[in-house]
Amino acid sequence: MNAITIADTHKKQPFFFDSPIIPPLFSVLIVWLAFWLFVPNFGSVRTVSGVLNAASINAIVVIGVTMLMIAGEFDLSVGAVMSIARYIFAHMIVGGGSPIIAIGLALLVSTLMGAINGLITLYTRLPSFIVTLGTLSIYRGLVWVYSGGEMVQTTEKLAVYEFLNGRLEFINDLIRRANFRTATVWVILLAVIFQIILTRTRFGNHIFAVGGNPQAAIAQGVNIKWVKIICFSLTSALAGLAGILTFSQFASVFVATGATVELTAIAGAVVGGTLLSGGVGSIIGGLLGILLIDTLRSGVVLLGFPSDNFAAVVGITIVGVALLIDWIRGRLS
Amino acid sequence: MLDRLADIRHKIADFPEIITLFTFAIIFLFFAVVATDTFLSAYALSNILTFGGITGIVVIGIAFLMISGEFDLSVGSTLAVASYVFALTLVAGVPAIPAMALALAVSTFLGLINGLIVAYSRIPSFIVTLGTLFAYRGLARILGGGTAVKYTPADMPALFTYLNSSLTRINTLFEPAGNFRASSLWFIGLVVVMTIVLERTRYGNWTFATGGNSQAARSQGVNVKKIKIINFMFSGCLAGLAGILIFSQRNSATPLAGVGLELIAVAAAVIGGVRLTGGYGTIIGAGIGVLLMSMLEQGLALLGIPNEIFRAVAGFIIIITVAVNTYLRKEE
Repeated sequence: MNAITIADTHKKQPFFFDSPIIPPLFSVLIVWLAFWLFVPNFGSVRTVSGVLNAASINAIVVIGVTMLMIAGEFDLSVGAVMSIARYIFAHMIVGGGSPIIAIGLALLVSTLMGAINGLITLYTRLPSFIVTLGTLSIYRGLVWVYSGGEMVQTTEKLAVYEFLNGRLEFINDLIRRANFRTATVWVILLAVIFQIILTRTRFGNHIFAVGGNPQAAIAQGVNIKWVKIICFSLTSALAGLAGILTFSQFASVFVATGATVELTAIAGAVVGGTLLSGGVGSIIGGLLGILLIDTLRSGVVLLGFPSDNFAAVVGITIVGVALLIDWIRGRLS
Repeated sequence: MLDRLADIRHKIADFPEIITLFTFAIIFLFFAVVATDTFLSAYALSNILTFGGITGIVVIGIAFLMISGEFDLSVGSTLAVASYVFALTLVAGVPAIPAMALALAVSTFLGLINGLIVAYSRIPSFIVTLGTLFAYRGLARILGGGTAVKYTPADMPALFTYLNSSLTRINTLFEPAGNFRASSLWFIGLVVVMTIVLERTRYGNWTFATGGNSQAARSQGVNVKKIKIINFMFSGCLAGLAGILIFSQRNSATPLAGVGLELIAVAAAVIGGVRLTGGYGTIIGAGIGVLLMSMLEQGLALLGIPNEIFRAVAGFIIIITVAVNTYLRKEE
């Protein structure tokens, strides 16, 4: 044990190197540089905006998943929740329903599903990944029952779609061939809000405490059950929002949507520095992680590899990065 | 009064297989009543054993691994890789037995990778195998070029009859004909062998110890890392065997083979009494569990209910069963 001298306490570490954002930021920059050099068409605005669009949807999910992981729990059912929300929104709005009701109902159901995940996890004391492995299949069954197995597709262009996830005309007009969508705006907004909640409010502090040291949290009077249930609910609510935005972009929904979302979200969080054991993480890091993964996916496609191997890339990324982080922590401790 | 309840709870907790058998009986009776003509036929019942047998081979591996305290969510993808390796080597003209050996070697190797990563890092096994689930699925896709691989030689290799042929002599005893296949014999044989290994060998003892209390096991001299790695290799190997058996029945390897298998396998193990946290379970229990799941699947299919509902029920079963078992074991 080194004694901490007065001199040490006066020495200020540059914020930069302490920040958990550095590794993922660095990785994203390196991957972008490599791709820009080696992958045809990568540097074009069209490609970059394409990557951002795909990443935006995943990014919304990762905000919730990161917060939940910081609190020490996992949610494997986010893909199914996304699917249900997408269907509910589609059914409510196609043919002239009120957008507010459609969005509200979809979000309500998603939040409820998250709350159920939380309640089951807390009251049965089962590991959350087992509970959400179970609810994943239950919710998928619900998707099937609710949709009757049918696809929903529409060609009418409603104003609400443009608001939720339409093209950002003013930017697109400024930059030739740009293809940015409003979803990116929502992501940035939500990320800022939740990062503030996480790092500057007492509730955010509680989240870190619950994941990092539950005994200490209880001793400090933190209501662990409430914190976790809220995190579960937020995760699913955000997943539901992602589903709504996806429908707004593609104007269609089919039974199998959202299949690899849960893995991508966990991978993004892990790449972004969120520890699998909980207690450590950052939303900005999670966003960078998602950016990295979606960049890899575009790169894979542009390099001519069959795109259905993308999931394999995500799988390898998650294991590889987790190993790397584990190794680094082992070396530092 | 509460003491008596606690007593009963603890007695049942000592033999969770009682719950398994009870649930099995209830589900059997349910379908027997609701779908009498179709369910109580040799065809349906033999289907349960036949299809359940193949899943069951995978479940044996998973149960063994769970008893030592780890999960393997990648078994479905390993199955697919093995069936492609088998298919491609056969198509390339390699004789059946070396082809099978190669496919088994590959799937065991995939299990080894899982085991090494889990044993030597602090990453939880469900995360590692969640990642390899997708990575190995990608591998299967690459091997197959994204399409099915068919094998249609003039004569089926003799090996196929031993692997998974139709047991016609038994089948024709029934009207309509039953659907017993050799794979059920493999399943039953493996259940017996692995039960003996688990409960009568030192290795089995080490497996229980590793899952029950790995610190204590380590201090007793049990090589916990090696046990986990070997059990992951078992899991991969058995998943590979299942893939080979499926191929020798259908003669084609498809990219979607084994998708969703991990959910059913964990459900079967859990309902068969294998403890989620490790350290307790029986292979026979897991075997009954897989037959229960297979019966559920058959029954629901006979009632015209889609497979997604079956999977939803499987998820439900996992949660309920583990919750019930946790309640039973609770000390007052």
